[in-house]
Amino acid sequence: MKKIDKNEEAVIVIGSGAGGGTMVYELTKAGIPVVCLEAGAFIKPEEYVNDEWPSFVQMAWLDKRTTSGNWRVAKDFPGLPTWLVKAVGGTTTHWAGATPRFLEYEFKTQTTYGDIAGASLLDWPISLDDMESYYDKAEDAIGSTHTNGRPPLAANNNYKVFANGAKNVGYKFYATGPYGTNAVPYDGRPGSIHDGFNFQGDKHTSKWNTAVREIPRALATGLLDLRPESHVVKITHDKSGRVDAVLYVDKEGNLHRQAAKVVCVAGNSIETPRLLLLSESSTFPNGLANSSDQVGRNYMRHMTGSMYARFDKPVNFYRGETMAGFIADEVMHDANRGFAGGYYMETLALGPAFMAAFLDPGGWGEKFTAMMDGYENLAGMWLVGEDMPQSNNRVTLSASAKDQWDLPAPNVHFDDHPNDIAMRNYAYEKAEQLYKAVGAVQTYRTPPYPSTHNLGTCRMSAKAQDGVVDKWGRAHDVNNLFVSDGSVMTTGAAANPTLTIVALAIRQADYLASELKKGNI
Amino acid sequence: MKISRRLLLGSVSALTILSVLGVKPGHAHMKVGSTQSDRKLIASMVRAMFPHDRFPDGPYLRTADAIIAKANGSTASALTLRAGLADLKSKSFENLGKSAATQYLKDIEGSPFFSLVHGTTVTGLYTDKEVFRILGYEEASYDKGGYINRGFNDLNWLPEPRIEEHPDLAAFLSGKPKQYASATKLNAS
Repeated sequence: MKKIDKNEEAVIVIGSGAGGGTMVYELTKAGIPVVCLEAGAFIKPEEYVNDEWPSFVQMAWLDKRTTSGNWRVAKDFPGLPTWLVKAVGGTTTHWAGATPRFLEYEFKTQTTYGDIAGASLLDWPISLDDMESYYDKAEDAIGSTHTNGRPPLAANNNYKVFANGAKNVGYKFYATGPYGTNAVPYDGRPGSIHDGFNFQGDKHTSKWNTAVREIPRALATGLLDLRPESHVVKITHDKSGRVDAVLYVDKEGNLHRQAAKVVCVAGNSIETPRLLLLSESSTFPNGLANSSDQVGRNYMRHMTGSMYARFDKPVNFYRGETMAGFIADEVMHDANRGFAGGYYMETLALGPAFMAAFLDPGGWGEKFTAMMDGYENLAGMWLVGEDMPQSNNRVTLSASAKDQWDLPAPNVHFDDHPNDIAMRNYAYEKAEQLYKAVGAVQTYRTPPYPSTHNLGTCRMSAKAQDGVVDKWGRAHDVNNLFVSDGSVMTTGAAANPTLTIVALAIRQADYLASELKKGNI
Repeated sequence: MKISRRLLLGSVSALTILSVLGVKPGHAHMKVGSTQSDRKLIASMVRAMFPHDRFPDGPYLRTADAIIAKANGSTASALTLRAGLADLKSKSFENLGKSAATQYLKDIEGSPFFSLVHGTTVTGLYTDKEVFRILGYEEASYDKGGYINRGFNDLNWLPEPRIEEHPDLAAFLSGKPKQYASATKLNAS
């Protein structure tokens, strides 16, 4: 592996997930040496565990965090606002795999929806046209089924219930994807053996994950200096305000300094704004790249909820690819429904261990045990839609809670917007109708899990005062600082975010490589 | 990975993470809930809380053991268990009928003792291997070759659905959204 001297001004990528891992590969592929600093360890597929809690302990991000706001997660899981991965590969290690694109109007929701009380809607500074070719590249990188000639995954049992219910209620747009897992061998990785455990890391490597595609390929270029278990705690700058180094802690707690030419931050939407806030200085007392006071604001986590249904016949919904079932009929904005934006329905299954913890946190008694007892006969789906950005939904530094390095822990504040609640209730009703249309004997409205889609805390804006980064993801305030993850999303759309994060990162890497080669940075 | 069973997700906190990592805060020397009758009493409370006619006593007793072990991990929770056990005994919990037992649990819901028992049960009872077998859950699949030849698609009480996208999907997704003016009005009110 390449060794880059710590005094050499390097291109540094912080994080190795969907955004960071993609940046690392695209830049090294373009001939640019990169230092990648990843807080987690390099867990290999053979080390992934087909067991829910042990896998959670193996890879979940469990550093100290606190929560506030009226969302139910703050009550049920006060120390666990998100469910993300701390490992090389980041959250692509355990992502489910759904890969829808944003819709054209979802890049301009302020224009489309108009002003909505309490929402800080803003149009993106880019459009679907700007993104189309990068979506194509991202789908090819991920190997999304149903796109560019790639075949669909076969129907698993959970999908059979879901799709028949969809048909019976009159939906048209159901399919087993688009999905980021190989139905047949593709790109050097095998086809799925329908082994489930998507949320525990795919031991078979049919599922796309930067730890099995981008990172090994970047290492093979000979240009990547990958440093796992290296947790960045501060980005420093010179007198002119340009970023000049990052400080990071290794697993033994030793502090290191790596000189920087360019820094790309991709720590997911909690750690990215936290790092910018931790990087305050006398020049930037409110945090790096934060003259707009927008760092950490407009935190979005998608309108989510789940519907589980019990039948009088077996389903065995845990067999097969967890989220390879998709309904798009409800995604199109239609104000007649009583809310702005739309949502997807996607198949979902949990093992008994997670089902008990998440079906109804705090729940007990016969209604609860009837569902658990009927585990073999359950079907399930996730409801995922656009949530409203709100200025006060934000990541801040805790005044009292500290992490393992004695640094301020992030606090995640989230209040549901009335639009989120209206959409969730509507979606629950539609999901119940769907399952009743195939004979459900019991349905259960499961509240949102700790957030897996974390967006918007360093949002992209045309004007510097409205956001943190420009249309390339470059900080408005700092010429050689980029944000390369879902934090840049101006609004969240209904789509699962990974495909868009990858497409944005490929686009940003193209731009950055070109600027570096021209000597503009 | 026994530690994972002790992970009380309902209160993921510094304390919980320390216990996951195997670092224990100071704990009592006197073990609370060490008698066979204590163990059975807690198991009966767990059964009342999570009633499964199909489950034998074994999983409930093992869950009781996990609760006792967790409670004895700190002085504060040992005292919680001690007080909870005393109250169960004073109410003759084991002799209460189903509705009276449920009412008792409703009355103490949210108390530290209830939370201790509930939280440990969620991560204990439903990770018990015997419970997995009774529920029909097959556990790890990769070492058995996944489900590609073991029934991922064996559901036969519904017709085989389409798996391809509908031919109109692309046109639908590129269509124009409807009547957005009224959403503004609705949300503003």
